Amino acid sequence: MTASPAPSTTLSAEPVLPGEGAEWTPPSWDEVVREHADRVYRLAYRLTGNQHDAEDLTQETFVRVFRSLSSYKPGTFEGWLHRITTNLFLDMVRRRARIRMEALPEDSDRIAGQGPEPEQVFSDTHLDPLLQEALDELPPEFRAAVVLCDVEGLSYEEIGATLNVKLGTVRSRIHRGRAALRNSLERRRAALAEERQLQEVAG
Amino acid sequence: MSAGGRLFSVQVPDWGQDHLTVEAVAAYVDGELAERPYDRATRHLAACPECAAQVVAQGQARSALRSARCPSLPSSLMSALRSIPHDTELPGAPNGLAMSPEGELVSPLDPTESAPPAGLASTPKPRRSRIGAGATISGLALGALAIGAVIIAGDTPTSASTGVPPSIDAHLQLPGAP
Repeated sequence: MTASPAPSTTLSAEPVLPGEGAEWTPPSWDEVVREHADRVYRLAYRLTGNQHDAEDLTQETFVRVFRSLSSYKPGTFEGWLHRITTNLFLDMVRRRARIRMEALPEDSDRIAGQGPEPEQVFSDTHLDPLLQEALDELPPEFRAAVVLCDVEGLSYEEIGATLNVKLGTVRSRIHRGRAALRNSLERRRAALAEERQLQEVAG
Repeated sequence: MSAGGRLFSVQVPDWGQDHLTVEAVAAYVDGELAERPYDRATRHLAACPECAAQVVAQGQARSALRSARCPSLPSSLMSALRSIPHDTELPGAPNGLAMSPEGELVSPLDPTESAPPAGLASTPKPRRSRIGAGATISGLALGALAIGAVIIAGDTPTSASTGVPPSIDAHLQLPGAP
């Protein structure tokens, strides 16, 4: 038997990661916020696609964290944050979908374009507005898988644990999510290029 | 071909000729395939433009996201997050205690006395009821609360921030280790 060092599968291991346990000291709330706020906000922004919702989601996540600190186990903090943020996001999306279904049955064309204006996103954050638009177009479950993979850099196993889905589901969501993202991105870029060309001809 | 050969004439499956499943394409791009499937996929990709194109497409979307700059946290949100201990009730806290801005457990004396901290004006959410300011520090640190979940009852620290990590120096036993 080759006793190769197995990758630390944190799921089945003790709640302390190697190298983290010995020097782990309880953080103050300020430290928790300083260390994790950026990351949570980035995730929230990529999931929700706009600053307003991202702020709400970040705030809600930290309130949830604060309230359940007593159940926190050292070593899983980031995974814990990912789970809370993502699940609150999915809850939010489902809640809104329900409200829209009940309140605006005939206003269906607004549902597709409910994100902020591209200029708005750009001026808020200087993000590539086309990329965020393309991301916003993905169904929430696919968006979550892709964002956890490519923005947060989680492994498939970690994504599965975060979203509570099987590995095969993680793989197919990532593949289909990325494929749709790329198509949408190309379509938008082509449209933009065409528009610019027309403007040049006109001006 | 011999007569016996007919029995075994079924082709050994040439994995290199099967197209990659979409799941495998994603896993390939993310380095999530085990060694053997990875080698198989690599061989197939060398000969199959169709699958290779899929891998390129996945890679393009992946790097578009990974290289995109991320928005930075608005400072107003930062101060709102910091003052969550002011603004949030803590159902899990010991009776009569709340959390101070420094992350210490305190007993609230007069919750009505406190004024809203600066920087909250822009927060869209309705504020939660206020506890915490105008309080005496009980000497229990946030850390003690956080640790509480992992220590045995007899060891519960009663003084502030001892910083001693209780019972977490046990060796990490990896599954499958001899």
